[in-house]
Amino acid sequence: MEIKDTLIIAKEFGDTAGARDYDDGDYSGKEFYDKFLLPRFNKAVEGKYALLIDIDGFWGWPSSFVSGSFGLLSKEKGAKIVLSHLEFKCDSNPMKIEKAKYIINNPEKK
Amino acid sequence: MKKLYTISKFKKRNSSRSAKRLRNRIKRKNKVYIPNIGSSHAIERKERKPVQNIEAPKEFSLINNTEAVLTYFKTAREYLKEGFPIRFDISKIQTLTPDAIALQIARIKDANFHKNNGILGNAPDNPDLQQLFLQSGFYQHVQTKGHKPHSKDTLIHKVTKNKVEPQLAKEACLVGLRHTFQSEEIFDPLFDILIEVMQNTNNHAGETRGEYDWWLHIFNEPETNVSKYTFLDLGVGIFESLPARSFKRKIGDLVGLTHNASLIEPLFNGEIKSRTGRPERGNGIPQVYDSSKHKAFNRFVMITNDVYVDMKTLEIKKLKNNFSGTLFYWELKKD
Repeated sequence: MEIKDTLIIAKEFGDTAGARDYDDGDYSGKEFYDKFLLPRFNKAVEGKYALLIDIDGFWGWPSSFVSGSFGLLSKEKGAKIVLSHLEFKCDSNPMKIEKAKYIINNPEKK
Repeated sequence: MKKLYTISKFKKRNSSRSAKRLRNRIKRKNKVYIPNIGSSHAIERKERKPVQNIEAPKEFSLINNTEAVLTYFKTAREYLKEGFPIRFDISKIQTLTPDAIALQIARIKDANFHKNNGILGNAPDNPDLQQLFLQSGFYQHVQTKGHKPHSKDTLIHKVTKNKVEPQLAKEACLVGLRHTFQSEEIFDPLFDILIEVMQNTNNHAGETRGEYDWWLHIFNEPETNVSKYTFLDLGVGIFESLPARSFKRKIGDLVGLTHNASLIEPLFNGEIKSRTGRPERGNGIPQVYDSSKHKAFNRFVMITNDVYVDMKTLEIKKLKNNFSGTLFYWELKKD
């Protein structure tokens, strides 16, 4: 699927990852999900293109943040459609991509 | 019409008033005042109790001399509970690690500990330890008569809003990374650990979210490239938190748990779920454990309730004294 949009997390959302929910403090996974991930993902699905998630320059990738954003998206939309409309880029630490994909495939597992 | 006070009527009245005032003055002068006797709002005068000197163990290190340091704080707590002011006497210590300083600061600032009784203190006599103590940032958190020593290589932060603070976590990373690696490059394991331990305190230290503050202390050893991190809260401790108690109720009876040390494995495996019980939750401590394996962490210790665990070697010690709270200590070191 062709990439027509790029979400650079460190520029658009902030350069640090928080925890899971709004109650946990700033920059939570749920905040990222509500304000950036879900709206941009929905547009990508409507426009039948892929959204590139650029993780470079972003501090941290804690389970609570990834689960609170990508895990939640997977639970809401299903892993298959999420993975078909999302691409990831992280040159500094490719393990972050693996972790996001694992949580998307297993949104309710450890 | 103007009154003529020299007439006998006024002379008689003034003499009578004057005599009455004189009687009252004499009465007041001879009165013995006994304050508040018989009053329902009587305030008992508090007798000032003598200051109790609590001598710190020679090896003042929670991570290396856990039982003795816990006994030191336990003794202090008992005196404070009885209304005695105390003196934390660390003058005779022979070794000192930053985790003990961080814990002493947190205890001094903890209202549940000091109970509004005075806490005095001193510094080590040993010149090297005194230097370390001055650099630790301790004096930024206590009242002192002299000037407050500047501590450029240290970061101590107390968060009172009880939240996860990503920007502070970034700052804390940079403080150590600049010292250890002379770099500001993102190091995810360190950042993730900080976020997860903050969230652990926020979610699990008390009966309700955000009940307890957390403390973060970073000490950059001037003569080495080692950064020493201490993160602690004085909450109920991991094994007295709701998720662990619930796990013990469900599983403990089946497998015959006799000590909290048996819970380390399920805790690190993510089997002890958060209070929501949802399967995707409760992965904070497992992530801390996973990240602690990174070779940049020279040492990684967790102390909570009656358990001490070296997360690098999985050596577990059962403690006689209970540590009410959770403390993580790790060292960031270049290969």
